[in-house]
Amino acid sequence: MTRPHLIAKLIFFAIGVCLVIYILDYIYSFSFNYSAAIFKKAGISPLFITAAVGIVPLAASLILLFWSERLARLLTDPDAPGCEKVDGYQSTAAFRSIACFCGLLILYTPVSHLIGGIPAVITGPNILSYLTFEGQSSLLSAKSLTRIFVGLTKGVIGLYLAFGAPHYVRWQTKLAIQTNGAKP
Amino acid sequence: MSKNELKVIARIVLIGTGLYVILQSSLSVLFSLPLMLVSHNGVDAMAITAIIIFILLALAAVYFVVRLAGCSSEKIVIHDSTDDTQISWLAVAFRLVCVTAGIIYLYRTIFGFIPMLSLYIQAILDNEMPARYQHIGPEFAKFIVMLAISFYLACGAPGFVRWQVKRTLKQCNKSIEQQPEWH
Repeated sequence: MTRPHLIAKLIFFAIGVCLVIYILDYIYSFSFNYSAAIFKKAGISPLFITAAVGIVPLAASLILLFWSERLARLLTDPDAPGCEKVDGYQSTAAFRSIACFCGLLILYTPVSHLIGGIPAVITGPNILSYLTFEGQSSLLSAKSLTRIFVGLTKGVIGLYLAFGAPHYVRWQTKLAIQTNGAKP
Repeated sequence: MSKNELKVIARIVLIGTGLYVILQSSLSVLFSLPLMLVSHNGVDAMAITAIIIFILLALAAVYFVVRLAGCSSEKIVIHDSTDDTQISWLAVAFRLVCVTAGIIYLYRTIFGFIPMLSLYIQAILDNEMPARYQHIGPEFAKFIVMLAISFYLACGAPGFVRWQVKRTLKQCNKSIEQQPEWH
């Protein structure tokens, strides 16, 4: 595998992660600005809109994350002569550092919400007011549940990436080694 | 990769991050410009002076970012005692990642707190304290903790970088052990 091939794969990986976060942000903002009356007036199901808008970035992110090898082959030749070859070590390091960067950026929001929520937890009943937008909605409302779901998902993805996305990187390294043949 | 190449990469990344932060702050000021002009009932001498001062400040910030990136890149690419170039390259990469993330954390923390603080001060001056500003203590505590995390990352997060380098080397060695035909 050549260096341009690795760079292309890294860019695809970063864009894929960005798209996943975009979907989560979209779900959050959709639930926040959701108005049943508007959808009733327009005669469209909110689920249909969510699926229609969310399916394209979701499919794109899955392709970018899991078919990056094939996509990168369309752009660069992994065995192009004259280009510097990349070994498994460099591939692992590059993927881990990019994953770590993406993870740290994603973790900002969950960490700040967690730190902001600690005083609410300590003071007892205020946790409910924190989760229910200061009593504006119930705990089991779509808005509150979406907030919890998006926050938790972002936290899990952010932590996994900040720790270097070990499984994903191992798989990518294996692919890099297969492309290189017997070279580590 | 040589030390000079690493320094150039570090400088480019730091300048890019600095310019991103300046651009984002400039955009937020520019977006609030119409509101400022409306509150001043049109363009007056004070508004023009404020805009000129802002442009000068932004230019000064760009100059300092370029100058600071040079000094910071020297500190990021420190000479390691180990002769293994791969290990030092790895440490530099993770350090650079942490410093960049730290700068973005700092920007988001400070720019997230300033509007709240200004509204709080305005509320004190007007003697009209809205309910959401009566509990600024937890918000201030959150600001301090986030600021501490941001500084830790901006300083290169030595513990985290050490752990990441160790884990990456372990992962590489494991991959090599799983492929005996390499040797």
